Formats: sequence, C-alpha cells, structure tokens
Amino acid sequence: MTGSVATRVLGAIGLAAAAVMAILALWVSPADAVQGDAVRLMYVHVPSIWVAYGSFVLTAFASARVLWRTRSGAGGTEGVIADRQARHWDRVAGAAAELGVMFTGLTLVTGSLWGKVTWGTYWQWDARLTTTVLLFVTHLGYLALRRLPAESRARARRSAVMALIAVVNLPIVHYSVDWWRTLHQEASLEIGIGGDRNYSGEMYWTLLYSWATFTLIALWIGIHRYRVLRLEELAEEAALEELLSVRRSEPSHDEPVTER
Amino acid sequence: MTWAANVFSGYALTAAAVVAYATWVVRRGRVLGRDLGIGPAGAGTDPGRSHPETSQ
Repeated sequence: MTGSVATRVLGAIGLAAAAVMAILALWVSPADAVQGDAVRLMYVHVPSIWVAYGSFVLTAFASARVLWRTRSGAGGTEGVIADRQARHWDRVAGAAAELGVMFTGLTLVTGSLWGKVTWGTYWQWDARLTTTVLLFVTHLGYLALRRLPAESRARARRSAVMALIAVVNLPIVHYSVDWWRTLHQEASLEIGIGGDRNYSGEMYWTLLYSWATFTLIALWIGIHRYRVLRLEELAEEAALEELLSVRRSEPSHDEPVTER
Repeated sequence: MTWAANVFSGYALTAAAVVAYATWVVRRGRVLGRDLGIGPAGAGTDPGRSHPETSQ
C-alpha cells in the first residue's frame, strides 16, 4: 500500500546489498590483530550508530522546520501552505526518530555483545556508553510525546522542541571518547582528509560498504514509515469526520423544553 | 560465550529487528490503506498517486 516502483527498486537493492555485506563482513574481511574475529561485530555496530546519528540530525532539522512553519498563525492560502509543510516536516521527524531509536538500540545490543568478547563484560558505565543510553532514552521520550493525544499543531510543536533538546546530546556522545577517559575505543573513522583511521584496507572498505547498506535499508523503511504516518493522519481525520456526522444526525439536546 | 556465538547473535538480532520493524510498517500501511479505501490491499497501489501528500 505504501510501496511504489522507486521503493521496490530501493528495497531490492538494499536486500542484495545486505546479502553481499554479510559475505564481506563474515568471510572476506580478515580478523583483527587485537580484537580477533570479534571485529566482525563492528560492521553492524558502527554503521548502526552512524545511521542513528543521521536519523537524529534529520529529526532535529525537520523539527526546526516544524517550529519555523508554525511560528505564526497566518491565515488564508499562506496559512494552509504553512500547515501542510509543517505536517510534512513533522512526519519526516517522526519517521527518522523511530529509525534512530531502533538503530541506537541495535548499537547498544551489538556493542555489549562485542564488549563481552573483548572487555570481558557486557556493560560498563563509561562516558560513551552512558551518553548513548541517554540519547536512546531521550528519543524514546520524544516518540512517547508524539503519541500523547493533543491537537496536531500543538503536538507537532512540543515534539519538535523535545527533538531539539534531545539532539544536543549527539555531539557529546560522539566526542565523549575524546573528552573523557573511557573504556570505549576512539572514533572508528575521523571526519576529514588525513584523519586517523582505526580500520584500513579490506576492513575499512567493508565498514564503509556496511554503512552504505544500512543507509539504503533505513531510507527504504523511512519512506514507507513516512507514508504510513500520512495514512494515520488521514485515518484520524476520517474518524473525526465520522464522529461529527453522527453527532450532527442526532437530535439536538439544546432545543427548549416545552411545558405540558 | 565464544566470539562466534556473540557475532552470530549480533547479526541475527540486527536482522530480526530490521525485518520485524519493516514488516510492521508495511503491514500497517496495508491495513490503513484498506480501511481508507485507497486501492486494494497488497495490490501495489501507490498511495502517492491517490494522495499526493504521501509521496512527498
């Protein structure tokens, strides 16, 4: 129902890419000199958080657009256009946040599985892990806020504020390994030319390929989720319209009572 | 636990979560589309054509 030719092609490419990724990550890529074969978990752990980062940045950007488009109560055609754009960005924010939460959850799970092999423990309350949990929980709160019953404009605005507060933690998560002494290793790849790499050769390319695969899959799910959110709005409007028509067809209770 | 068990668990959990979420999204779209009468469920109707806003 939410599919189109473009999403079917995207889905097929994503599926094929995932199959190739599994071969590259589990067989082709060599074991790490220090981590051994546990490094194979990095090909799902690192791309998961990268996709989550991207999703949360998109959520924040879309939320800022929501606040911008709803800042004034413009009427007429301008108001209608602003409302439609605000709804569009609100859907983008909601769809991206769900993906971000799912991929952050996967980052935490795969990270703890990797930690058990390399650190000897599933969990350690170090700066990176703790701030990542905070990122997960705050965005979970954002999703809960979106579900609270309220007028759509008010709900979109208060959710947008929450998203902008939650995203402040994102750079803290990323730079936590540089700012504090943590058990967690440093960033896998530095941003910019000439940056340090903890991975090279086949491992480096496998990591980048895995990230591209995760991005494709996230994009495919995100487009579908966006369309489902639109359908949910239509269903909500239809239900409201039905209730109103039932109410209108009922005899009015406001009619004056005639004395016998 | 050996590394193999943890690596397998990590990949299996990731695949299961992504497939479960994607399935839920697609099914919810089908149910809502059917309820709203936007084309027959599962017939591959593009809601973007019926409702321009859904294809943005």
